[in-house]
Amino acid sequence: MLPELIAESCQRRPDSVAVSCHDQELTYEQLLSRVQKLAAGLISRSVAPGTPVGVFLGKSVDAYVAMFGIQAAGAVAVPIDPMAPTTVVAKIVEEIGLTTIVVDPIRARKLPKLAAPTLLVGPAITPDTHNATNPLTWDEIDTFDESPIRRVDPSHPAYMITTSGSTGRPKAMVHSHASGLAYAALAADTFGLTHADRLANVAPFHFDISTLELYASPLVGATAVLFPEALLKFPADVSRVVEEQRISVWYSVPTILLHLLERGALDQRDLSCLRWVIFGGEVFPSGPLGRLMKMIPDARFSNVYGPAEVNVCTYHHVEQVPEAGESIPIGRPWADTHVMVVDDNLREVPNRSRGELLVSTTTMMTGYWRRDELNARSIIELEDVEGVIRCWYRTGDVVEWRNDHLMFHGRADRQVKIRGNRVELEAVETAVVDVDGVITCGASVIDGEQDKILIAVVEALPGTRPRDVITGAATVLPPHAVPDEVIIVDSMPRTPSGKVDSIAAVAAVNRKLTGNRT
Amino acid sequence: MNLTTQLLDFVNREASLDPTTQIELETDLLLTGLVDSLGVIRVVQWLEDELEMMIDPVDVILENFQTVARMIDFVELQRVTSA
Repeated sequence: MLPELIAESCQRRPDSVAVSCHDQELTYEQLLSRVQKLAAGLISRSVAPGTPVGVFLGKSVDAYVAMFGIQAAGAVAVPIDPMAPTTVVAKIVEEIGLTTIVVDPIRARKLPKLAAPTLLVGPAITPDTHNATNPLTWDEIDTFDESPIRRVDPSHPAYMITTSGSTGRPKAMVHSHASGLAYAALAADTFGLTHADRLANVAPFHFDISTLELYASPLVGATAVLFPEALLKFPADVSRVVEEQRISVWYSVPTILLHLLERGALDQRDLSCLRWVIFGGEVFPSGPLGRLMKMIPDARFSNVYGPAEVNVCTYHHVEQVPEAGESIPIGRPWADTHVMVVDDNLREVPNRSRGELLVSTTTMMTGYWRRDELNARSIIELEDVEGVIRCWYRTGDVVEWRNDHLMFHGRADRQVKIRGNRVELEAVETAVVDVDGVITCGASVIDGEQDKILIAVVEALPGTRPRDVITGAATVLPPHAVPDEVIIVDSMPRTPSGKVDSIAAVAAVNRKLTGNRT
Repeated sequence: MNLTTQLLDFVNREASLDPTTQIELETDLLLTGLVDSLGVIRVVQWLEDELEMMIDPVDVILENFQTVARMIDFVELQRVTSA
């Protein structure tokens, strides 16, 4: 079980620092104690094994404790985007049926009106709208004796990763303890992690990238250094913390590294402790990657790939500074992982042909929470080339084998990645059309100087202002899915079949937009 | 309009993610999530354009941008030291 990783590291090195955030840190002994007390508190309030428990907290030591405390009670940790607007939180609470939520005072104000009686963990006072039972405060949790970790079978769910689906209905991927443990072991092995490492936790906990610091770190007894959300807005602060905290392993989406490269004052920092920079979640353009590699010459760089459904499944060590314009492979499968590239009829395609990537691995989710029909479509049984029948996750990603490594060629559908977050363009369009005054909408992304820019081209009633459309959409979409720019047009380009042609619409305004930007 | 009023207006109008919250001088913009990283870039660009000054990336840190009041303190100090 995942919390046992902490107990094992505690036995080996109780006084080593397990987690650090700002000026707060916990040794393995202190972390284990807080995890066990939280578990005891949850059990005292009748939280049953297998119950999903929300973690709606800013990045903090408390959030780290909450993830494991929930699992140590045999329950399932469901981290929620701490920046999500209330309506998005409401959908997650409803979809998963959360009736226990660990929350901080700032997020307690953002909680939706709760339909079912709910146990809030953390805050002392809760508003009436929360339908909350008597809250369980951290002070009360402190008074409990450390409960032994409630042991469950490794196939038992441990945590969920939620993502907004194409209809705006969230999908929750359920990962077992076995999946988390397999990931921790594979990551530790691939990147040679040891107890001496200090891992930067940059990704939020609702993002699968953070599983490196959550699970691989305690496996080897390393230190997880948490970077709070506010800090990440300031690349020069981030690089200072990397230096001061002697970060040795970094794992994030490329966007944050691009910000560090452009505005992180890297030339003024001593980053000699940084031995490995791992990136994934989206494509890292080779030009900036090359510049970054020259700025941090002593570190190794690796591209990792994998939808959150399977966590990570392939890796590629970038051994030489790439030429600008060169595509970085997503590499080859790591251990205990099989991949197949198939055509529409699920037949394997030859080398250098494009097809959909199927993945079979020990780090795969058990399925989407209560979505039988979706699971039947996404997870299939199929015989591989060796004649072994395996369970495969259909990624929907288009790839090709180029000799011994895989190249990534985008999506078969309209899903895009923005700052590493999945965004379904249909969901953006649906939300924008729901804003007062909007008639139709076509959404697409263009490449900005650093980030991808999400554009919504809109046909609207007279008097509708772009700013109103953005703020209207922001009340129902997660922050990364809110259009960066809304362009109002007189007439919307359409495909021959009469559908909104979002690509043509965005292309038509793109020239004007880039002209305005400079 | 003086700089403080203009900056408050800009932050409320262009950088805030929540139009229902009125941002004041001492409102914490960053821990509350009222402004995201793109918003910080917009504020920096606006200050550079309005005040015809260059802001060193090394100075774009939480301490200087947590509230509108801090931003004002920071740019005032820059203007004094560069004058």
